[in-house]
Amino acid sequence: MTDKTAVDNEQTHFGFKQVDKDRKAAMVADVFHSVAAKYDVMNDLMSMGIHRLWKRFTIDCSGVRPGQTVLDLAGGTGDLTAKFSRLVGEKGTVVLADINDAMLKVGREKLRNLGVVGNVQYVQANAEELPFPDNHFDLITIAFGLRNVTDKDKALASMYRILKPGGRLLVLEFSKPEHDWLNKVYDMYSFHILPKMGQLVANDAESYQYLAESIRMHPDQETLKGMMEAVGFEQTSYHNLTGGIVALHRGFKF
Amino acid sequence: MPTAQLFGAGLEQAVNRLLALDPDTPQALRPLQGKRLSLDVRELPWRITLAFSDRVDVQMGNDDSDADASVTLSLAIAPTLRDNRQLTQLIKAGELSVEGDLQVVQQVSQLARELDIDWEEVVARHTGDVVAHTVFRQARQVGQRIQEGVQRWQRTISNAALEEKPVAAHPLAVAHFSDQVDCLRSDSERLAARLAQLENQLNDKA
Repeated sequence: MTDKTAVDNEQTHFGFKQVDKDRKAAMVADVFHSVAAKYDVMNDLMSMGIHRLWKRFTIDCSGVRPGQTVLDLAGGTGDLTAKFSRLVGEKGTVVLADINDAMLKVGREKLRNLGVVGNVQYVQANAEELPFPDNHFDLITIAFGLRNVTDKDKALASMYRILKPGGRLLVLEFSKPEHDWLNKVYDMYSFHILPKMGQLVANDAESYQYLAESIRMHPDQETLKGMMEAVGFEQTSYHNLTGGIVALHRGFKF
Repeated sequence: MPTAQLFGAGLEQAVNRLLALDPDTPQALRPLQGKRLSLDVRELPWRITLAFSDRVDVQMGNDDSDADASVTLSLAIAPTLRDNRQLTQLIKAGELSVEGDLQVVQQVSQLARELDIDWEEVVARHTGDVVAHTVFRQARQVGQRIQEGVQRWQRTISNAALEEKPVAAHPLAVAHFSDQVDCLRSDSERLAARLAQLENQLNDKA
């Protein structure tokens, strides 16, 4: 199945703009280089702290056990990794992977300062070409990362390959609000308030304009579910959070 | 908003802040490292799972069949769980149900019981030693005075009820009455035994 937003083989979206496919990764990298230092502060501000509850929900749905191997893909500043590290214990492993080295460095420093060491590995990796063996992970999570990936189908297939049979994938991502009124409020917030907050706090309105645009271009709940099924995931389902502003998709490999 | 996660976050924050106030917590948590305890509290709509490491992580609504122990209880008996000796009684009374490793429950109970927080020290970090010491000394004095006052009231009410307005029987009168009842009971038992003996003799002669 092809990502509905891709125009053709040569072009893809970058927010509302159309860009060459091979340029998108670098452009997304620029955005995250720019926001890495203020990423956590901005997340708290933009979501009024609710992103922490969305991430907690993801962890609660993970079914992770001591001794398991977890991949926190596009893990950014390591919010999920910190908790997974404690839940899998000394015998387990958590791999924090991100394509962006600036985000990875911020994440590594933050986790080390929190005393999260020993069972965490850091890998700079492209979600489309994951550098791990087949059937390797018990759990893969990707929180607020999939919409930045150029070829989402390829990335999902790559995740499916490295997941162990019985393992699960959790995709936490912005999605489509369930109600029209919420959609309108959300649009006003995203396109008028969010870039101004980005300008004030991170001195970077453009990156936050991209954030709002990329959310609108991301596949809705049913489309993403279908994309997961197309690459082989089974028992796929999704759970809307905060009226569908965010959705958690879950799929298993058997 | 995910309410369960909000509750879980608040609970986790409160538990870990409380544990951090006792310097012996890391040692007390060691036997529980890697263990999971799931709690079904009757008054709450979610299952709570506590995962122990160098701190306590709270997971909500998790179908945790792999927990080392599962406990079903009501909020009312939660404070009594600090006393290990009461666990068996509560299980027998059907107020507490435990599945899995009872030792994990006992270790958690022990962790709660041995939590020793020097609240004066905690307050002193924010106010300075002198203020904290003064506040706590005065609080102790007030507490002592309240306790003495309560005891005085208990004595006054007791005296009034027994001596001044005898609405209740004096303990000596109760003891005397009990002795008389015992005496009457043994007399009547003796009489019953004698009557039975006489009946038997009459029957034998007949």
